[in-house]
Amino acid sequence: MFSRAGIKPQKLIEIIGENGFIFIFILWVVVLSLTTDTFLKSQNIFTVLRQAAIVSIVAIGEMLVMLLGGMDVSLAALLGFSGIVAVSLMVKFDLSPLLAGLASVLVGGLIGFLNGVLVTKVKINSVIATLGMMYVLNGMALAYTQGKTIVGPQLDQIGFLSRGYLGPVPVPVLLMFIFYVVFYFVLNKTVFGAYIYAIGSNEKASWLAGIKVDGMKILAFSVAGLLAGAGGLLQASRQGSATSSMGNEFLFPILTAVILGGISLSGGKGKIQNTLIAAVFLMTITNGMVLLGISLYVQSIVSGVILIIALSLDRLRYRQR
Amino acid sequence: MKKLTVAVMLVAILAACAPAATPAPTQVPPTQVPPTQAPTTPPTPSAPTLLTDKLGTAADLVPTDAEIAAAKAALGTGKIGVIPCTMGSEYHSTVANSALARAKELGITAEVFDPQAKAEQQISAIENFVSAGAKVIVICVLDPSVVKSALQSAADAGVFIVQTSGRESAINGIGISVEDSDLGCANGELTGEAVNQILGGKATVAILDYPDLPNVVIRADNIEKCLKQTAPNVTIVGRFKGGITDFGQTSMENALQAHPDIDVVASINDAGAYGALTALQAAKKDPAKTIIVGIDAEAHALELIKAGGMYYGTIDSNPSATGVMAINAAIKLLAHATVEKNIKVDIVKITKATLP
Repeated sequence: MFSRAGIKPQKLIEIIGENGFIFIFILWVVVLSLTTDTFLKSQNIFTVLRQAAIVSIVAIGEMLVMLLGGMDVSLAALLGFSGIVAVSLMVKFDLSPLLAGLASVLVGGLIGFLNGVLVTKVKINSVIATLGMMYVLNGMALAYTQGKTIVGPQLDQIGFLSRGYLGPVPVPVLLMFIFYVVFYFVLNKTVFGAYIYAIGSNEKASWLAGIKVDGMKILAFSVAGLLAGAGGLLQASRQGSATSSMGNEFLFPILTAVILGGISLSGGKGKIQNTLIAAVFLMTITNGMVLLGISLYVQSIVSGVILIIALSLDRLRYRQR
Repeated sequence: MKKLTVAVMLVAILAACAPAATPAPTQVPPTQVPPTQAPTTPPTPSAPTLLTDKLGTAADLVPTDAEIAAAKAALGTGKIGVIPCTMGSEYHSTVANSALARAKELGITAEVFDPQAKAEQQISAIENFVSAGAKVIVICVLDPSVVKSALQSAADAGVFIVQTSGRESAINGIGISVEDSDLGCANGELTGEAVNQILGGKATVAILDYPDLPNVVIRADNIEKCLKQTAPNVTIVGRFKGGITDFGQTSMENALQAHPDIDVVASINDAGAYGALTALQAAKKDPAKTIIVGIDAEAHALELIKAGGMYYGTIDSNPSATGVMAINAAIKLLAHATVEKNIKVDIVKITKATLP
């Protein structure tokens, strides 16, 4: 039937595999628009986008690693650790917000670099290496904070990063779009982007073609770390404090955003804009369930179902290869 | 995902267990009187005698020098394993650190394992401590149904248990805790009192819950129950996910879209309440007519209460004292002393007026 209409079934499966969640997203938006009177208000839309900002920015880094066929499960812990670095430098060492922010981002980059070295030079599987790093970072965060909340008036200086507006647009939303525009360009218009997709599609062929595969991987992990560091700074600004557990709850949404966005688990395939849409979709689910008055006790069921759907769609694509 | 599964399995393999041997305590029913000790140096009983006739207090747990010496002898090269609910919150880390400090003060080895608020991790922690020769395990039980069999196995192996949550369900040892129901009710009462006093008895209330942990849901249930009893005219618009600052903030941002008139937040802890505070401030709520009440009496919460504004109060569950009491209870058990089985930790409602 589809063939007669000009769309081959295989192509259709591919489209669904990469974009199927967008149809579900649109359906969800329609339901919310019809059943609530607040969902489409600009204030609510900006609330959702603001909530999506941190997850979506860190998800770019995860996406880079996954495009190369790896996975970084330490990014949420790194986000939390970087946030602690930024906050403690400001509160305990009275460092300027600029330097503290820069330090937290650089710490993120450094740890990302270390992850890259562990994966490429020490030859540890990326999940195992970053799982180990996740425990190290969580442990360091805990040892440093001793479970206490770090807070101080100095943090008001970075409040604009999460609560500020540029015209009618919240600053974190603006930052989110800037990051996505930049990385869209990097992935689609630069040699770096082409290499990322090439390595993810066929690592051996890329190596034979002269691409420095290990270097690219280390770079990708480092960029992911830098973005997690930026995410940590934004989260510190958002909650106006730092705690050892501040990154704990980000791993699931980051991974879900990337996988839901159609980034193939085996690498080499996926669009950055879909990761952004997926991150926004995730936040819309939580927002929508609150607007609809759905019980708190069933919300995680919905999140789990979405992950399963995303993985099923991903498998659908594998089957066609 | 295969890779992730393999990784998780590798971590899970680290769990192991092995039995040890110490006698189980004798539990005396409420009507029974504990055996009277002779005035001369009595022989050490073969097991502690646990009384259930009344709820004990911190004073009942203070050990004598002889009990400390007997406990040290019984412990030998063994240790006390401390398993908090998590080290990631100020309340729980304070309990654990306070327990460690008390153990150090007494010259006893105590170690902490952080289960990161995961009940399944507590099973491994119990098994590992038993395997490592712990004679007493101090545990904040996250979910009694999950850890019950592991605790029973530890008890069967002769390990004493000091439970710092859900005191009624303590196995082979002593339960010391502020009950979650008491904490929730105190929060509900304090919130209700504030609503009556500041808002004339009428308010739109959001409750910050944390449904992942059954014990915490009990708090939320009792917040709701006691709030309605104290201020019957409040409208509770729903329960939203809190527990940590980010959840509290995200939930309140969303809840305010659906219910812009929310002017009261009652939270199952302080950490979630901080997030609610940020969201309410961003929504430009009038601090004089907005009320937030948390639980745990964290240092930051006390600062916020003292500063005035939306953060009206919190419930002090006395984590430092709880940690000290836990080690004192361990001493009593190791020394085979006669002691109350269920110990109450006093809670205090904190507002600006009660702070120095």
